[in-house]
Amino acid sequence: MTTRTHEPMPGMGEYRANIDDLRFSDEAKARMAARLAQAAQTQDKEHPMSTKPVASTRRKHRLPLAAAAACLAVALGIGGAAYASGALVSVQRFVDHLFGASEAQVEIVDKVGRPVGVSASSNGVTVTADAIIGDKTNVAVIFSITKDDGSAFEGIEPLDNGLYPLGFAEADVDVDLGLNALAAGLANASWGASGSSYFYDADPSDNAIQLVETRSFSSDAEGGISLVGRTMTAHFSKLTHYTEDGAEPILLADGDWKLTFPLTYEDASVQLPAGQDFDLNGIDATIDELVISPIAVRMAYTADTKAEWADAPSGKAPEEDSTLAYTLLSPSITINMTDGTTVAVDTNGGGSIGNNGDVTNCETNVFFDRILNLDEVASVTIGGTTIEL
Amino acid sequence: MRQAAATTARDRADAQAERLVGTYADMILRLSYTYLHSTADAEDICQTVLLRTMTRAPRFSGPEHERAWIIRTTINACKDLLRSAARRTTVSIEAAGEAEAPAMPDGTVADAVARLPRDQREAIHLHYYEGLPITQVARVVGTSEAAVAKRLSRARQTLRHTLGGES
Repeated sequence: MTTRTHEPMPGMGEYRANIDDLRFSDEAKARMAARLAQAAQTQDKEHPMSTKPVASTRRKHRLPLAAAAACLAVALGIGGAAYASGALVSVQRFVDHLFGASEAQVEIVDKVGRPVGVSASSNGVTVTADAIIGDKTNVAVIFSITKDDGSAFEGIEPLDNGLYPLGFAEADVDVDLGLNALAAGLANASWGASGSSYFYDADPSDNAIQLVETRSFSSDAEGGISLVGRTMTAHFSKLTHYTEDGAEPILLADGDWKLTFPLTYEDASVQLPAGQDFDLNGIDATIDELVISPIAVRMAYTADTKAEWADAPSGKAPEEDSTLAYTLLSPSITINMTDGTTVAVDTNGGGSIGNNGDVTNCETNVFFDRILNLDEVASVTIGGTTIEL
Repeated sequence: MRQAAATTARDRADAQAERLVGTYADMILRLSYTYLHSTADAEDICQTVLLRTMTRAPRFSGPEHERAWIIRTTINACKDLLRSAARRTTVSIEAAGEAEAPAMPDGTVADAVARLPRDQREAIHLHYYEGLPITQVARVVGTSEAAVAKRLSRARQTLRHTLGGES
């Protein structure tokens, strides 16, 4: 199915005429074709599987020496955080994918993101953890999956939303929170994790496909938990192509991959004052903890209601339970920027709910749909209550 | 035999390069202008994209598949260039004067589109100028159909406001 808007673009006729006039001269096209044929032949002979941008003489002049030196420093890992050896997707490209492209956030990206470049190979397929982006309790990781012979995975097409119907038969992505060592302090505490996972193609010009995993961790332990400096372990097996509903899944790669790497980004989170009352979709509630970072918001709160769950068999929660959970875990959150604009946070009904006598303890973590510069955030409005930063 | 084979390979490369440049160079130029607000780097981007097409592209299932692949690769090349520009700490004095780049478009509507946020420019150009359905725009830019529809709606609203009664 394809979607096409029928609403005309204002000024379309003039725009088409303007853009139609933008074209290369015949001389430029002839020059490009000759250089392209030469470069393609050279590359085929020297580097059959590598990419090498065509070096035009104009490009050599245009790149300043200082910029060239900066690129070298980044490539060597000196004071930069853009790439790591073996990584296919840079931190910045991962940020662009998750939060939309913006070249104005380099300083923030350098804090919240880190290249990883850790790989595991099995049966001719390599899985590489390329980059991580995170804060105190939320982390997103991008993995690239490649066939070692340089060929592409054949026969897989994206769905209408651009994602690929792939999965690992076993996939376990977790962070060692050191809870065993802290067992005494956490004896009466609970903790948990939630997240998402999907496959897409970050660069159609290479043979890799990408897997994005997000995880949000919560705990009611005193002082909470922090992912920063902890070790993440990812364990995958049997890369599988799930075709049409009911059809037999196709095994793409029968391997077993285990990767371990540290979460070395900086936590740029800011904790806001707590204790305020707010309206939780018609229920009185009180903020217990509110933390925002450039990439996400974490909120713990107490709802003045006793969550009554239906007595249903496991895995068959009735609709009323889903509605109650959504009500409790979808607080209205708006970020108010210093320039007067606002950013509505799309709470998605995810998080944890704990019965506590006549009240209910809730916690939710939500990734923003853009990177926020916290220097430009004035306040946060939760269910009609505004908290200054 | 070896000489004959080499000649044939070179002829094939020449023919493919001519076909790709003839078919896609102007499309890549226009798309890169939409991203970069400049035509100064368009020739380099065109070379990079078409070289990847000649040496690294998958087997295309048809002309539309090839075109969609080249659009995506162009977008990625533009983003790479923007990122490298954002990380530069110095500006080359030479950069301003040397380009023999194609003339920039001149017109009220082109100016208005150029002032839109990048994701909206991208959606407007791909949907209205290149004629891609929303589904395909979403696929090549790596977002949802709903997000593309929203970008188009916001862009139209801004253009209506900017251009007044023109439509």
